[in-house]
Amino acid sequence: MLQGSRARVRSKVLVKSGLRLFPNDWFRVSVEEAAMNKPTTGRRLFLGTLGAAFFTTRGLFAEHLSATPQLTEGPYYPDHLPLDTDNDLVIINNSIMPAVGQITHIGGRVLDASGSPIKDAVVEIWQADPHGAYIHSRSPNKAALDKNFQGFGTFQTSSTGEYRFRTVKPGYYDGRTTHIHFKVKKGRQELLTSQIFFRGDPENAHDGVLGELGDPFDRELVLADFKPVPNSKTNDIAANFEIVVGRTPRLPE
Amino acid sequence: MRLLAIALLIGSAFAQQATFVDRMMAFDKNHDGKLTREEITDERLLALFDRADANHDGIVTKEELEALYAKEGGQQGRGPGGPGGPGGGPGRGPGGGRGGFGPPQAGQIIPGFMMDRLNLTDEQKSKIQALQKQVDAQLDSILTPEQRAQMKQGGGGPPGPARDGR
Repeated sequence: MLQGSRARVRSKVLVKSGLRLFPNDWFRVSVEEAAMNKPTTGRRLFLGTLGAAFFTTRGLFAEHLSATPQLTEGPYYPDHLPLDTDNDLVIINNSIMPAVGQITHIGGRVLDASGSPIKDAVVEIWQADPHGAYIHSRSPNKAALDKNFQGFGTFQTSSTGEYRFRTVKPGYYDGRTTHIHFKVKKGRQELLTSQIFFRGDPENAHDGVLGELGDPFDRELVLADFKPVPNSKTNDIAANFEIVVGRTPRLPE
Repeated sequence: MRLLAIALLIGSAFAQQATFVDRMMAFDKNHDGKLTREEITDERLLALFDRADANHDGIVTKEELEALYAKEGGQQGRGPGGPGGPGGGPGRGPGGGRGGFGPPQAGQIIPGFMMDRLNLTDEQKSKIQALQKQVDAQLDSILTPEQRAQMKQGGGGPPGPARDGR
């Protein structure tokens, strides 16, 4: 099953790259590298293409890392899964129509509190499209939902703990600032549910969920620095976002 | 009862500032009471270090951390225009729910994560918003300006009508 989904990720990515829908190669190659379990080259390529600034891990974390704060799952975790649940949310299966929006890359590693990568963790993301619509059947702005947007994706980590997604920048809805929901699972255990925020978004100051983190230290751990991808003709943005899972795994509710 | 709640919140605001400073000072490996960039072994916190380093000397002191906390701590506040924001509902304090981190913010009727979960109708949302405005106004009239400023500094700004979202 897991192997199958990896293979599916690869084949779809290859098909898509054949259609030249990927504006640059780093994402495609690093996804393949991750899928093929060749972390070293994948990481080097990632570093080389995006610059060290995007990869914020210095050496190995010898010290204790603070866990990424948990935040609400919210009401829009998919109530039905899309036809495709891979890590490219921009294209559903082999559709020739990509989702509309600013292409957004997000990736990083899933680590435990000692800094060790967590292997075979499944990272799920779900988010609104640029019109603030989720694929959920009770989504706000439902009529505006982009039918070509996958809305939900999964990625299984290899021994490096690395994950990555290609998506579009989410829009605002219901007074929420820009954010991407995520969940980390391992087997049947849910390790973490939280949200990724876009640093510098003016709406962050008014967001109730982000505002629950009163300590700037905690807020820092859920803010990602999205920056323009060098030489991207489509103005892609990318951010590195390390996920640190605390000690206590939670069982699904 | 209300005064007690406010006193507790102000107390927790100070406690939280102390927590923030302590969490950062935990990186002070050589125990000289100051932080250098090299000591920040968790790179997710380097941007915060740089913001704290007000005089750009590459060293962050306790005072600089306190100043950063005064600037950023608990200031996020809730969005009066949106569904929810922080503030522990009865019996659901910090850590009580998935979103429960940090103390609830003063005067918030229903925390954001709870609002999210309740799946409120637009009518309910606007009613809660109206109620929130009443609470905000009353709270403002009870507190002195100094107390309001003090609360703003930490833990959770008082519901500022000036911070109206959209």
